[in-house]
Amino acid sequence: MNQITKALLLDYHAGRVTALQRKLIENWLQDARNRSTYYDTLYEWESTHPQYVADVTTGLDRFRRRLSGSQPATTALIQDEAIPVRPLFPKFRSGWLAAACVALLLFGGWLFRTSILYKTYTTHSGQLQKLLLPDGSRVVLNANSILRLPRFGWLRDNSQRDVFLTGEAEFNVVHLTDHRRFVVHTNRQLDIEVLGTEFVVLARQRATRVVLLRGKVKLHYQPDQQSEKTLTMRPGQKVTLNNHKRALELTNSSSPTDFSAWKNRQYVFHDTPLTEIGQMIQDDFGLKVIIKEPSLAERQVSGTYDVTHVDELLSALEELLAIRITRQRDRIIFSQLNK
Amino acid sequence: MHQPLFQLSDESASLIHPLRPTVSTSMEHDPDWQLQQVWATNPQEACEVLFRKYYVALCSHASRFVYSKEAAEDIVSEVFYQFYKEELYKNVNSSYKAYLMQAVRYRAYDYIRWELTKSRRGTDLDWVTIIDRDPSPSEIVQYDELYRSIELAIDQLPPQTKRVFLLSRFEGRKYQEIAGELAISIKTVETHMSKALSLLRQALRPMWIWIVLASLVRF
Repeated sequence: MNQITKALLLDYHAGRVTALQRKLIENWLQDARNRSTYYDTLYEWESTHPQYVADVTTGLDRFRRRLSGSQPATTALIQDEAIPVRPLFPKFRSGWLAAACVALLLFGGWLFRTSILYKTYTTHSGQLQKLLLPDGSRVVLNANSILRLPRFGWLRDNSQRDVFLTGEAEFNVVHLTDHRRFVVHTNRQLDIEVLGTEFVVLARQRATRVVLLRGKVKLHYQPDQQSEKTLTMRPGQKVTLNNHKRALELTNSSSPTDFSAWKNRQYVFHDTPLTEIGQMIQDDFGLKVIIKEPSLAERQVSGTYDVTHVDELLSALEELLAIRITRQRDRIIFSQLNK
Repeated sequence: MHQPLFQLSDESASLIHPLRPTVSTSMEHDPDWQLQQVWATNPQEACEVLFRKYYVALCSHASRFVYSKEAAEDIVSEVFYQFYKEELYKNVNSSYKAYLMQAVRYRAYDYIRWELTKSRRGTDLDWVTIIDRDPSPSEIVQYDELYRSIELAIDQLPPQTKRVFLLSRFEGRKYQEIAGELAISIKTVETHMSKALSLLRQALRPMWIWIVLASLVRF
């Protein structure tokens, strides 16, 4: 059934139809064949009821100037019956829109530059992650740590292998035949240059420390823009960055693997003060540790502790030191028993 | 200088008889189908034939959306330019008239949306939805609703604001001229203009949602 008449369409264009009639027309338009009729009447109405009458001569002059102003289409192309390539987004011809898009892309790229340029590995509280890097090197990332790797050209010829670490990680770097450098950058003015070796890096608030297990590494320490200090480490050595003295402190460690015990979910303490243990718990498990009495803070702990669950460590410490450890959601309070 | 404005394009179609759908969507039923040969030999000539024939109606239609003669003529000119330059006429398989009217509507819509929203949002990702394609029935109807809403919104402006708005926008007159003609200060003209635009924005806000939704449904 077809109730759409030309008169109705003309009334429609003039805005003189009811909501029901409008709906009828909308339904009628479902048939694609009716659309040209629709535009015919729209044209007719627009011609009989113009909003204003534009001057064709001036318009055409402008149009011709526009056409001649730019490169005319070659007639040869048309005679060849070349298939016209229709642009995907014809709108993008407008200069300002293209500019806006470019600006948007650039801004987006700038905003997300880190995620675009680097592949990022992140660990949460209490989480360990074992990574295999594209060159075959292995990394164990401790909790609450971030390791970034450039996405592009990491293994390109003659480029050094740069990685960026915040937190703590053990590196087992593969030596490549072209002796290519592997450099761990920390955000604490300390870079570690490697040739093929195994070492542990700690780059946190509480300390910046490198422990070399095997092989050879060279440290580049840049306390300020002008000066750079280098230091070559031998296996078993431990270097700690002293922020106050702005210097690297080298000591020999009898058991360097203790510093990577965390990768087996263990903590190894050698006369370690409780403040430092509190810091470790804070760093690795994301818990806030509060030590109530200053005397308690100086108590020292030795031994190997299983830290698959932080509660195991806490109850062990509680028993060993005869103190009270209470946990309130994400806060842990160490206090004397007799209080 | 008036063009012959009323031409019944289809002699057989009486005003009151139900309209039969065109038998096919092929070009043969378009009165402009004779242009086929001209496109092959002299596309610019063919384009100019269409330009002369439809320019006035297209400008008038565009002005219902943009309410500016200058902007309307720019839009129509741009549509023809693109039509010719990108050889879009080769893709038209229904009627040139329908294609051109729809293209003008797209551009006009694009223009006012940009104009009315640019001050609120810097960039608009919905641009991508405005590309050449067949509109859905609901979209077609929404376009009609849109220019009617604009007309209504302008009609409802306070009299003096409306006068200033039409002189500035539609006639493209300078603020200084308007101030002189209406014996008001330039500052007052500016106030009227910003008032008019903000009232229009308010009145048309519900329309954006509809058109954007309609175009999304199509994808």
